[in-house]
Amino acid sequence: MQTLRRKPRKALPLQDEAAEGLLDATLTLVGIAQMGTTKTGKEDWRHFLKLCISGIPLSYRSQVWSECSGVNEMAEPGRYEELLSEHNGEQNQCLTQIDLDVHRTMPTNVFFGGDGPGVPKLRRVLVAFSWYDVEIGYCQAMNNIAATLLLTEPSESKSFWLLVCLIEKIMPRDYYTSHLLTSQADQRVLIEYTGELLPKIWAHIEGLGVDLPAVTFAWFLSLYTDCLPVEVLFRVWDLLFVEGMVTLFRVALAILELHEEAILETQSAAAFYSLMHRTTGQLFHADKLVQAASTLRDRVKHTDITSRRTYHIDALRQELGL
Amino acid sequence: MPNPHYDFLIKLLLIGDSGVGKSCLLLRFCDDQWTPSFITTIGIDFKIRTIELDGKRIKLQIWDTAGQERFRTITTAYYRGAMGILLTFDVTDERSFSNIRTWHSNIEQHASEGVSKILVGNKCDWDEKRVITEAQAQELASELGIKYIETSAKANTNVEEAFFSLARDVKARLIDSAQGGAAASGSSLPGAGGAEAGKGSVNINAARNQSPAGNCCSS
Repeated sequence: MQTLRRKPRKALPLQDEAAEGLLDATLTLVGIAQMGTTKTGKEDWRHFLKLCISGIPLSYRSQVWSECSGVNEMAEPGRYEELLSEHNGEQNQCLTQIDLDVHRTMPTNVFFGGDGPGVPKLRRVLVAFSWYDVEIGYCQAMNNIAATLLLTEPSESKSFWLLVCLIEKIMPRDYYTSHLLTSQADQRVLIEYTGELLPKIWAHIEGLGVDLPAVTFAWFLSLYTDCLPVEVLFRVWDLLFVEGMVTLFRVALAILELHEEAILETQSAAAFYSLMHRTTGQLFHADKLVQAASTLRDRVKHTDITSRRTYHIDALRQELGL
Repeated sequence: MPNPHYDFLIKLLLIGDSGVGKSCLLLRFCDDQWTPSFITTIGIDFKIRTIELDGKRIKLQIWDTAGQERFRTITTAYYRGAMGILLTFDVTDERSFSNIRTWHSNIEQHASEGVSKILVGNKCDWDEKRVITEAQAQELASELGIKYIETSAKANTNVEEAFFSLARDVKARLIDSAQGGAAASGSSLPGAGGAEAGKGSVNINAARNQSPAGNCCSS
């Protein structure tokens, strides 16, 4: 990865159509921002992506994540500490929920379980975010996301800015705000893709009366922190940071595809839900999953998702009377 | 894993403020476990347990919901398919008790008419922290016209009773009366009085395909 080190140039706009799959970033490590714009850049990008698909080495991970998410241009030095000190002792409506949830986040992890050293860190990161973006504030699932960041990035303030980038930049607007409108719309988009790309599976589970979002809603909202083993989760996040939230769709479809045989054997909706709970928790073959997700790259694209999403957001607004 | 050996399928739903112990009650009831290491429920979750009532094997499919306010539009979609609802609060948390009225009106708004309900006061083992007396809760329950039961998922007090009592109500309202011939009174569940109802492997909720979540029981 060091062989790709180069100087930063102007960052590409996030989710630019021409740069499908590229993310906005200011560069320090690999020079992602300028990849894809020139012939050699495109080659670099393909090479970089290939490396990421095989997994970003632990020692580079937090740095690559930062670079891909645009942390370097978003982070305001000292702001994290300021947010905490300025609002010290102050109340907002998120704090009670945060205080409840920090004790229910990764409870079996030594860092976060019981009175683990991660608990106060996690609390501070979430509290700071609730003051930083008052519209989003705090939504359950962000606890798992922040905890996962803290496991990779020991610096609280860096974890905080990574959280900001994930929630505000990589994820679409209104994913975590009230009514979770975009999250709900995306579940409908996922159902469409399942029907189109995995017709056999879809025909079977639809026949069983399965409500797919009952399983997959939490996958998306928690960015898979709620279901995948952490080592596999990191591999999924490698793609999430590099290719954007489109990864969430590809991974969901890949999980279904990898379990096609077992899914087709389920005799009831309940059996399908149980199967999904069980298999995601035991999904230890990161390479298989990431490969399967990557092969969907040509069929599940950012621009297509965006237009489908817009359609469903409008439909939902009407249904919910918003 | 799929177990077709049951006579009826009943869908229950747990609602209430965040942190009152909905998931703990469910884990205690379905897996007879308690752990202080709980995780937050994101959106919706569910568990299954098959029980025996009056010689019939009843499969309970129980949906657990996230308590945080902003999940409300997602979780209310699951109200319609529910045949019984556990309205849960924490006896050591006044706010969770006063919010029961809001939860109750959510039911009125989104659930099937005449859905069976029970008021559950959890964490009743925690005497020194208790702020809601049994009499207070009982009074509210009477006002709402529903049963009240105090539970402790931690000490395993009355957890079985709470779920069994609700399941019994649902069975009496939907299954027993459907077997009598007509559809259950007050029930808007279209499949409840179906021709199969008396035969055994009934799918009480067969006609609920419109509901985003109401069709999860088609075994």
